[in-house]
Amino acid sequence: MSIVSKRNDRDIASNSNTNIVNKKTSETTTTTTTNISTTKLEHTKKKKKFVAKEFQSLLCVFTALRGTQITIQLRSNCEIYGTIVNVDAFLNIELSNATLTNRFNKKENVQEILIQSRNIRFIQIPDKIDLNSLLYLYSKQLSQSKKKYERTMRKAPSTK
Amino acid sequence: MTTSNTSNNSNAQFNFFKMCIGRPVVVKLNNGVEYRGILEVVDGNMNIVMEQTEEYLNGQLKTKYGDCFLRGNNVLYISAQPRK
Amino acid sequence: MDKREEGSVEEPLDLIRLSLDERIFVKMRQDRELRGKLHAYDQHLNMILSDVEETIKVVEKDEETDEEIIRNIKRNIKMLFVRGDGVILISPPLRTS
Repeated sequence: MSIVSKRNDRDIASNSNTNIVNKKTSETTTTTTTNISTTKLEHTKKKKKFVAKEFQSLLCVFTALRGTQITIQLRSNCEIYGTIVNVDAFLNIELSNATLTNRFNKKENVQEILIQSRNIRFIQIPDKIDLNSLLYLYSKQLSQSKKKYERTMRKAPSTK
Repeated sequence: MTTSNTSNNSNAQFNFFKMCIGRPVVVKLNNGVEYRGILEVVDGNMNIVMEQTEEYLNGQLKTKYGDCFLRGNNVLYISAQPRK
Repeated sequence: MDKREEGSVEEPLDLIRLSLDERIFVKMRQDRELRGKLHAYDQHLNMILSDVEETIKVVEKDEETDEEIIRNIKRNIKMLFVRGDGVILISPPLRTS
């Protein structure tokens, strides 16, 4: 299964209410939409390209974020702020120059730390990342899948 | 899913889900919360999409959702109201 | 599953796809809720959300009066990667609560 992002489907005109990430990518969307139209023709022949396993989920984001500083919140309510050294296929993350803050707000500095992916609750990533280029390969696969049905707004059940 | 035995089992499960689609169901999660709604889609991981969903905790109606997606690993059971 | 006809039954994940670039409400384990704009997701339900408001429900029981005080701790995060195994429910934002 591929990761999914709608970036390349969006019209350039509808970028008015966008945050920093979108503004940076609005320039690239023109080139990407033309690329999609050519790749659609290629994909009608149903060629299967080999996609590296780490790119079949959102791990690709972190491999691209190597060297950036992030904050990981663990399941045990601790936070770790540090620089990504490496990420593996299971989303185990290695950080350097990390600061651990536990739930009692005690801080501890650590040179290198490996965090097991199971313990991660979420990761705060820098908001200025260019999601469009990171997820381009996978959003391409997405744009080729057919639109199965129209979305209809469903109302919450009425009160009795 | 290649041997005939396993394919029979998976078909039985899938037939159950197919029967329930479009019917009001009760989905109970591992944490005890119940969701009542109209079953729309189920997949092999028991991920569920429901419409007109109501969330019950301890029998009390807590919230209503027009559409909701439930992650399969949290699902304890899916119970359909019998017809006929 | 193999005998499923194409297009007759949708994958639940396809339905999340319809919520891409829209604001969603995510309920997570340990009484946490997130409201944010969905940018990307994968089959494990790892998601990337932006402009996220995280709400943690804390129930404090007063031993003397036996009262249950429900507190909501909120914080805002600009760009968040959520690990899929903590997710319980995903829905478009609540209209009635």
